[in-house]
Amino acid sequence: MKKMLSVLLAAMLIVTAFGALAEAPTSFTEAPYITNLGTYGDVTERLPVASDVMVEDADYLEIGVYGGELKTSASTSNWTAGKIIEEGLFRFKIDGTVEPNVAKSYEVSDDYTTYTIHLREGMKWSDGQPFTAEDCVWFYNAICLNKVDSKGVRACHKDANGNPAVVEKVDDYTFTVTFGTPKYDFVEAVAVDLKWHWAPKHIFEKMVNHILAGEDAEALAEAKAICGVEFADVGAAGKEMLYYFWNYPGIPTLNPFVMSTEAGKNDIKGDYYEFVRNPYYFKVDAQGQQLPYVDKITYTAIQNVDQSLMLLLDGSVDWQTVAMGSLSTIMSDANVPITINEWPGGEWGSVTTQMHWNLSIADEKLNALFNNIAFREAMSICVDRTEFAALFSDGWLEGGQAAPSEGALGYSEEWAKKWTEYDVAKAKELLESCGLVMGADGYYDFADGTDFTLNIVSVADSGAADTYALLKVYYDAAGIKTTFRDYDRSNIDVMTQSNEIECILYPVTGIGDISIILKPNSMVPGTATNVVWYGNMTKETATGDLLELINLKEKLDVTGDPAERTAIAEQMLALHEKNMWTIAYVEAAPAYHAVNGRVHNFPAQGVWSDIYRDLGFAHSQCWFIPVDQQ
Amino acid sequence: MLKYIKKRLLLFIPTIIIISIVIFFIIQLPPGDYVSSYVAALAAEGETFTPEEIAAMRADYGLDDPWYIQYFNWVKGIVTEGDFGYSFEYGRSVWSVIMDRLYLTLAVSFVILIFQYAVSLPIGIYCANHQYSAGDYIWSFIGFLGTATPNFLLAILMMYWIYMATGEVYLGLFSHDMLQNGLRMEYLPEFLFRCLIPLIVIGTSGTCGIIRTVRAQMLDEQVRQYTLTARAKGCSEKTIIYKYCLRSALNPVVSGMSGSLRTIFSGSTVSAIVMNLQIQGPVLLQALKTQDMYLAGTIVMIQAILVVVGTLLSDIALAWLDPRIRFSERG
Amino acid sequence: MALFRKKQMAKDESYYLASQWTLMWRKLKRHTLAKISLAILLVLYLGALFADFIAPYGLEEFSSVYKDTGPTKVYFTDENGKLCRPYVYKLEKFNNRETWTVEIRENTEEKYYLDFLVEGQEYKFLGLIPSNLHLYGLVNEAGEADRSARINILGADSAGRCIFSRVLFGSQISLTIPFVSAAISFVLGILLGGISGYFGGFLDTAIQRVIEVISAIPSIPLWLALSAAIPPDIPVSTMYLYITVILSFIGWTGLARVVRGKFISLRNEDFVMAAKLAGVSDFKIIVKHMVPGFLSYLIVNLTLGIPGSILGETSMSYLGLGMKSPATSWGVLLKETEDLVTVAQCPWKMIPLIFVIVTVLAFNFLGDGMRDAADPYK
Repeated sequence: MKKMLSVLLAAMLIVTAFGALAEAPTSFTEAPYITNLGTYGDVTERLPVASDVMVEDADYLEIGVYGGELKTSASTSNWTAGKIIEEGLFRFKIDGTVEPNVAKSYEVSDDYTTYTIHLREGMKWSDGQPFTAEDCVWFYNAICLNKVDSKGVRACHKDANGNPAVVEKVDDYTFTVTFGTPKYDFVEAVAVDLKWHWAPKHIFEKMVNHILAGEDAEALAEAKAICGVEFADVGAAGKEMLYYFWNYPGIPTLNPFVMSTEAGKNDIKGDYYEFVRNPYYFKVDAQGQQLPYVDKITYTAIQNVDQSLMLLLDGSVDWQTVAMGSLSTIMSDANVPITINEWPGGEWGSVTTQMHWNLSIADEKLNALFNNIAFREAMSICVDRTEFAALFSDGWLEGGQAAPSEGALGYSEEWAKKWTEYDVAKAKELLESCGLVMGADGYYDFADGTDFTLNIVSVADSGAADTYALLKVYYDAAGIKTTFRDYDRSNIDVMTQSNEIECILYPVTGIGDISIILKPNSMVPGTATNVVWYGNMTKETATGDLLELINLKEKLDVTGDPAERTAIAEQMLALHEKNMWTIAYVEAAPAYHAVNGRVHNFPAQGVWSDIYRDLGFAHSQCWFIPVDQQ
Repeated sequence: MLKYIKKRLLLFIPTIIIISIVIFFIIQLPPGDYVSSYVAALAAEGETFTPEEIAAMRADYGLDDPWYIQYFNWVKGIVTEGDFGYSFEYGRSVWSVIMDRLYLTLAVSFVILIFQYAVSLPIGIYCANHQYSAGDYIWSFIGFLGTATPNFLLAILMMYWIYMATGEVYLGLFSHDMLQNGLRMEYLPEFLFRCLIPLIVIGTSGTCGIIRTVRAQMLDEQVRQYTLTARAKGCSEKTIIYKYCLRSALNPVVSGMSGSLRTIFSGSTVSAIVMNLQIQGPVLLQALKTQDMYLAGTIVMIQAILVVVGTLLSDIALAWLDPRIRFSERG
Repeated sequence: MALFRKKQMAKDESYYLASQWTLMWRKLKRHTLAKISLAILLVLYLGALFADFIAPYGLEEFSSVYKDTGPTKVYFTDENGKLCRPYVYKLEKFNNRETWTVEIRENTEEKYYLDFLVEGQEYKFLGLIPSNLHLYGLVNEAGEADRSARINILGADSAGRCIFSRVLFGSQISLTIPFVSAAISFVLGILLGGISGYFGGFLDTAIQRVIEVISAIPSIPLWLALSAAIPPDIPVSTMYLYITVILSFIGWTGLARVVRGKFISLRNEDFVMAAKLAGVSDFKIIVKHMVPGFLSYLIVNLTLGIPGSILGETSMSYLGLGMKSPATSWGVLLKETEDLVTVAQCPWKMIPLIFVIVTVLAFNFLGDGMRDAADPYK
């Protein structure tokens, strides 16, 4: 994989330079689909005031044509349709910076305690009602503070002491967020933790008031009146309608597409559903055509990943993120033109080859071993990465290490290649230096003669069982006795919390992310519930460099200056490089998006990360299908 | 006979109570609970939870009580209010989740069941009457080919071949257009064509057992004394086969049918996957795997009741088929 | 003449004096298909017994070059078209990033020759004699055993392993363990079904209720719970055996109901009554007089039970419970075929299916033959 983040970064700089030159459109046009409906009136009335309309004019975008539908397949997951149509208050650009999206702009006070957010004047919900600061303020005060949506106050709204912020309305298009202590990363944190910052008050006020007053029956009746679903209790109603709001008909959103209101086409758990264009969507293209281009996105439920691959072949679905192993089949058998878009991700090495040791394991002998850097090095160099990577990735990837990818903060070639040289003899020396002694059975034992067995676990159906089968040969050759067992995802969590796991291959949450500054969860002990490499370690139990890592993270939280923040992040990464708490055997796997050739404006360069909202980063509102292929 | 049925009905209640306890115990037996699988599934999609959130959820769902308390509350709800509880996964009442899929499931399962018997009974009889003929061997071969081939592989193979031949992928019973525009007459030919793959896959998977059983039984009966007597008395071969042999040959088939009722209610998971249909089977599988206790419990419970009822029905049917049983049950 | 008559008489006598089993064996020998089936099964079992020797490669001999490659082409003629010692070319792989396809080529520079009794991975012949000789394999120009090139007569799997070798090793599991589970279900089914049907009354009611409770148990959570309970450091094949055994304690209910139905209809027959009056023990009546009355059903049940068990393992592995690579069984091999990539690009991976079908058919035809042979009316 040679397409690296740095290339993207450079490309993006050019894009923004050109983008600034383009003149903003002043007159607007709408899709024939809407004109034909005849009920919506003038497009200019539906958009925000001309100066506040958002123009999608990134350099890679062609001017598109209206019409057609995007077809895709769906599993019954809450986020299937969500990320791809999501509009956040802010959104990430490819260089990792944040730009206003639904917000028009923002200011921050000098002491970083008060953020003033400006909204777009005249912007409307998908039902035509005005979208104002009241919706944003009410969302925080009525819903978040009272935890009506089950999520409550997110980390982005908490100050250094954990106290919730105060959100106040200034006027219809302005609100403020005030913190008790300086909050340096509010804007990024909103984009990471919360994404949106509103709910349609005109729809939900009655229901939420009933919930808050404890009038459950009335609240549930109101919920049913809104979206037609009978929820079992108010907890479920709040979570589903206010957190997974896009999945239900009758709930207005700001997204380019909204759930159909037609019966039989709007059950997210059903056979088929569709998201249709939002006539009040606030973005236009460089020529003033209101987005989105296509009329709808249709989802057909499938039961199995192979079924979606089949549908890709004859063009029954327009896009699908596919595994490396399927690329060859798709490209040789499809009878429609397919483009493969390779997006680098943020993980450190391929997660399926990441090994995490529980550094706070209760067993003293194992604890000493795992915390011994020589042991980790031995485990790393005892594998022939060239052969292993070729087998693992069908030749698409090279051997690698758990390190930031090229172009990301903290990258160094030295780190990326650290401990990757295959050397069994040296691995054995290192194991002996850890106090292990070779037993009669050809496997190492502890110094006291007891058997040393490394019990590796993983998540069922993750493919880790295959990875282990390949790795076992090398471990056996180095005299390391291992066992392997995969468990259902949920059991792994339970085992993590009870500190039972010794060693995990392909964890639920892989170590590494796009940025240690934005999302340190998987890179610092005590910040994520399901990262295994530190077991249940906290600030109280951590020692040495791990404690230092936690301290640095806390320092990062209270540092404002961007340069200083980067410096701290670099120190944190340096600790990782020095200690190599986690190793991986193969370089990070990118995401491969197979896209039907008829879909235009799918960005060839992107970043595959939840922070960037996965496929949402491809901005589906800009995709279009040429008229002759609709 | 009536006395017998009455006795059986009386036993029904204690049996069901024991079954429900066993079921509930076993569903919660695997480590973890619904909250842990829920959190894990969302973590895979990028959402994270704090330990406090997780504990609060567990308390909300009543999952921090021991299983027998949960069981007791569930049964209390059913008995006092007819409330089968609440599906964590769907955020709705269990009953509404089940009812959503009931009709499609029943329709699909009945069609499959009738198809299986309609195909396999005649073939079984044919094979018995033409033992060791070419036809017998061919049917044996096809039957075992179908049994030995994993259903899902067979489905993919057929879909792939049809795709290579026609350039179209026929997945599931309904095309995108049918789902979008509703079922119109003009779609009928395509719909029938789409039924082909599932029928072949499910046909070959389930029928072999029935064919072999009927064949073996028929062969047994054909050499019995009574058949010889009938033949000697000049009964037509047809009467012998259908009136005498088939009747007693059906005994094991009917005994085995008691399980069919349960399949009708949930629909097989395999057929759901092959036909890409949202029927009960996959819902149950998912509920069991995520420990969506009340949903899984209710579906399994209904299945169990159907098994018990099915057993009763098949016992009655057996008695009807076989006078010897009828007389012995009377006594 | 007299001599001839004596011979003839001896023959007749031996016929009339022969035991039931001898008679069955004689009849079975006349059943051509059953004979062929028996021969095939014998070959398969010999293959399982000598798998270490016959299989050219081990279960952990991975190869990135041979990953997903088809059956190796063996050449019998040289460049000039003249007959020569059989040889193969080494393969090369190239990832084409323009078309996103993987291209596989033969490197005609490197020739490797087919040879017999070639040195390879060490094993213990029949579990006793250490050896490293394999039935066949490749040697290089110098005549030394060389494993950089491979000869995979049935192609290679997604980790570059020889599928033929895996089929052989898999048969060691798949031709044995399913019998354990089929046998347990069989014995329990006949015994409890028999008791239930033969004695009736309270015993019948009790056993029937137990059957109802057991058949209501959902197997998935039970499997999940079992898999969590079994410690990870026992070998997968042992774990598979455990779970199979446990599951067969649940799987007997269907058979038991059928047996019961049959017994109820048979128990008032004259021959049973006669046996009872003659003072034959209940157990003997069940085993000697009643069970043969529906032997054909039982044989069908048994022959269908074996493919059922082989396939059952496939579905178990979906829940992370069955055998797992590198341990191999036919179920594992079948499971690996169940995706589009195999069907579209690597059809040779479906070859193990042929072994399963042949085995199942062979068992079935043998069963047919046995049933005919056991039938006193024929």
